[in-house]
Amino acid sequence: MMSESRTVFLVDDDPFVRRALTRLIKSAGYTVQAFASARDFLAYWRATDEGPACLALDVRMPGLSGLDLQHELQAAHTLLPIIFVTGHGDIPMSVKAMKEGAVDFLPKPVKDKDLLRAIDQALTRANHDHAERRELEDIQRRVKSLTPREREVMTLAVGGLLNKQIAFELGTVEKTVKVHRARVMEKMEVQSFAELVRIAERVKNRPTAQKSE
Amino acid sequence: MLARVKTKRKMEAKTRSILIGLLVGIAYYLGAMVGFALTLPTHSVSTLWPPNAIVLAFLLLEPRQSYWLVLLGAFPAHLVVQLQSGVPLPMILCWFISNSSEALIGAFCLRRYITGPVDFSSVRCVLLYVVFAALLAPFLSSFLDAGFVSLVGWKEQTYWQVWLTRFPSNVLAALAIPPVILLWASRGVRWLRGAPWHRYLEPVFIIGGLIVVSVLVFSWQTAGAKTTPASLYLPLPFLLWAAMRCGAAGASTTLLIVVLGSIFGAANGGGPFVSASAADNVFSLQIFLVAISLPIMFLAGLVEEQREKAKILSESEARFRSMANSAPALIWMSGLDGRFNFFNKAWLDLTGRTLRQELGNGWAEGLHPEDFHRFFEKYDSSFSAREEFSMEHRLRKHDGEYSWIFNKGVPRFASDGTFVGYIGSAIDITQRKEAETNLQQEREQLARMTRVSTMGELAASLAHELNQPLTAILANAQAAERLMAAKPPDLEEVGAILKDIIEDNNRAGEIIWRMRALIRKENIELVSLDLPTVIRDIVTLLHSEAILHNVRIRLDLGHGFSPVCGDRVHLQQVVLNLLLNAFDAMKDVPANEREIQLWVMAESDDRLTVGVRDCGTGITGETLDKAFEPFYTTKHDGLGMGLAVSRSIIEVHGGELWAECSDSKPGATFYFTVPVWRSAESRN
Repeated sequence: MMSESRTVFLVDDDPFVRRALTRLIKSAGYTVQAFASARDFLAYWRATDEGPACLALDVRMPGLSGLDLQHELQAAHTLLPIIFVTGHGDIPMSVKAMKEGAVDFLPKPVKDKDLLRAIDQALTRANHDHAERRELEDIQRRVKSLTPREREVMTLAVGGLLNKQIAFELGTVEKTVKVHRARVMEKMEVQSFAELVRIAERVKNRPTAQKSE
Repeated sequence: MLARVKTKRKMEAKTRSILIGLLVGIAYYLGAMVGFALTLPTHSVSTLWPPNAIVLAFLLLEPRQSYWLVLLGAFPAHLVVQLQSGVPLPMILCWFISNSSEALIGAFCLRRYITGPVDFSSVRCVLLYVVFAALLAPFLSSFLDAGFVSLVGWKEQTYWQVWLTRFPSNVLAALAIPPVILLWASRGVRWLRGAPWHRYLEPVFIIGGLIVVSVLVFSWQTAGAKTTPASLYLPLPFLLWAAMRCGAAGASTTLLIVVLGSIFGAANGGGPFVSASAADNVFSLQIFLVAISLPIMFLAGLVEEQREKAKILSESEARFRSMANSAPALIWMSGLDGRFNFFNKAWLDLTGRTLRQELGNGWAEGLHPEDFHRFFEKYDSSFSAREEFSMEHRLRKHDGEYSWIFNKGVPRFASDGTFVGYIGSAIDITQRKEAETNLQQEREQLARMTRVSTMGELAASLAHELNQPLTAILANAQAAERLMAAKPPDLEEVGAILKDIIEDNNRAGEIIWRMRALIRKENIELVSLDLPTVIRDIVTLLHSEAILHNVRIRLDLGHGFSPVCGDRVHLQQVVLNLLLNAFDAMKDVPANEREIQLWVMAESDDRLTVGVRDCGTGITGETLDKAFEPFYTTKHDGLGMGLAVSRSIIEVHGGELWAECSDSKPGATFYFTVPVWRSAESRN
């Protein structure tokens, strides 16, 4: 596992608020990248490699609003937890934001403890999500390296069939199945059959997350 | 059936004709007897000849078609009387002609002008009677009479001697006798019947006194140098008394007594006369009696006339009173002096007081103290201008509660157009007033709520705007706290933070100062408006509020102004605000002095100026500066936003709002200007 990221993105149209919040978050030891508008941030975000980070976002801004930005990111399946910091949030708005996956919805003026706790939570979630995604991608890469016949053998084996039964299913002999099975274990980088079953289950349950280009 | 009724009526008419004929005959006969008794031996005609007058009286009592009956009844009596006294037949017939002609002339002439009973109850009636019956008829018939006497050669008198004897004697008879017959026939009997005994006392006393005096003056003393001529006037007080107290009937009756008594006395050599000649004495007596009869009769006519007028007046008064008392409205009247002299039953029922208590200005005790000056100011000014007035005021009811009254007064004028006072009617409008007040309170509440909601919007906007700098300040402070806690602390960064905090703070201040800009232009719809109408509408809305606060609003809205460019609701909010402020400012001013002046004027071509002046406590110079600041208030319950918001509204309109205070006048004056409307082309 790589070391935890401490990157916080900040979007607020008010330069004074932006500067003050940057200072505050930085003082807690985070790396802060601040943007004056949702569009600026989106442009930057699309142009760079995605790493684990979180976003502190004002709601009411000229141009693209905080909620619009959240919607865009959601549509792109980004793993960027959002903390809303707003001066005029109401309950329906906060409910909507939370449903869309926001970590927190904080009123301005914001207390440092609340903000930093939310950032901490958001980054923990981001790091966890990223680690999980990396693992999945790794498994998928290994699955991709299998030949079609090996993939069939793995599917049937994981489904609980004996070698003899698999051979019968595929119209081949038990010995060939054994060779395929050994190659699957090798390519999938697993030590035991039980481990193979666990990995195969994860691939089946989770659809592949693709970063949109 | 009908035929029988007709027959019966015919029978009755016949009986009546015969009765009248008989009555005339008897009266004529008796009258002639009296006439003979009063005829001097040397004369052919009597000094007082009643028969002619009696015939006249009957003619006047009967309709014209029955005149022949009267004459027919008189003829036998005339014949009998004259034959008895040995007058030759031609003379008898001639006299009947001349006597009848006198009565007929009088009757015909009078009937031309008088259709009803000849009752001497008016000056006109007396005048007509005197001119035609008492003067013209004897005057004309006396020529005939004298002519007949000379023709027949009866007694030794010349034509003019006969004329001169007959004329005054007949004038006197016509004045003295027919009125008595006519009045007693038409009214006297009715008057006597059913009257209480004490009603007789006065006439009896007058007549009794008169008889005594007449006997003393005219019969007891013998004519000659030793008599006292002035005693001739002794009956006069009784005549005046009778005329004043008993009217025409009394006057004519007493006159007749005096005439008979005096003529009888004089003809027999009595009376207060210097001359010993009975003929001379009688003549001068005739002149004297005619002379006093005339004013007495006119006086009696006048008295009757006045009495009738008074009766009509009192009847109409009684009718008015009963009408007024049965009316559900409250009715009052006042006289020439402006004091109140009548209140109807409905009024007294409402106030629970007696008429005596309410009269004069007593009722004003029940007038609400706060309405007192207002009422009398209006009443007095209307009274002196003789104008109608109407107003609403409070009046204390019998239970001590106050009722709202709508009171309307109208000047009263007599039939000749002279002003006689006021009559007023009032209705209880408490219920309507309460409904109005409730409505007003609801309106007011609505206005307040609107204002509060406007305030709410402003507050939300303000909160958001202020939130940004506050957020920055807090975040900066918290960052500084952390930086200070670090080792070593980054003092350079803390210095930058402090700079930012100060700047943020200034920014927050600016936002508050810019408050009035928060009423954004797009909320106001500027259209062409008639400013006086806009103002009048809002003042109308405040009408009851003004009464409740005892404030008079004097409007001088002028006319002919160009339309202004403005938003009706917002401009009304400004006027409302200024007026409500003015109400509040005058809370400590005595109720009758609370007055607001509101006027519109065009100081230049491109703008109208509105002024609102109160007479309240005014504003000191220092407060005047602060008055327009947001949240500044001198009231306990105020938000302090009114003038700030008003100024913002006016500024959005492109006008100005300011206040002025002068040391010489009490109160404050607020002004605002609104630009005149320009059409789209000229604005571009």
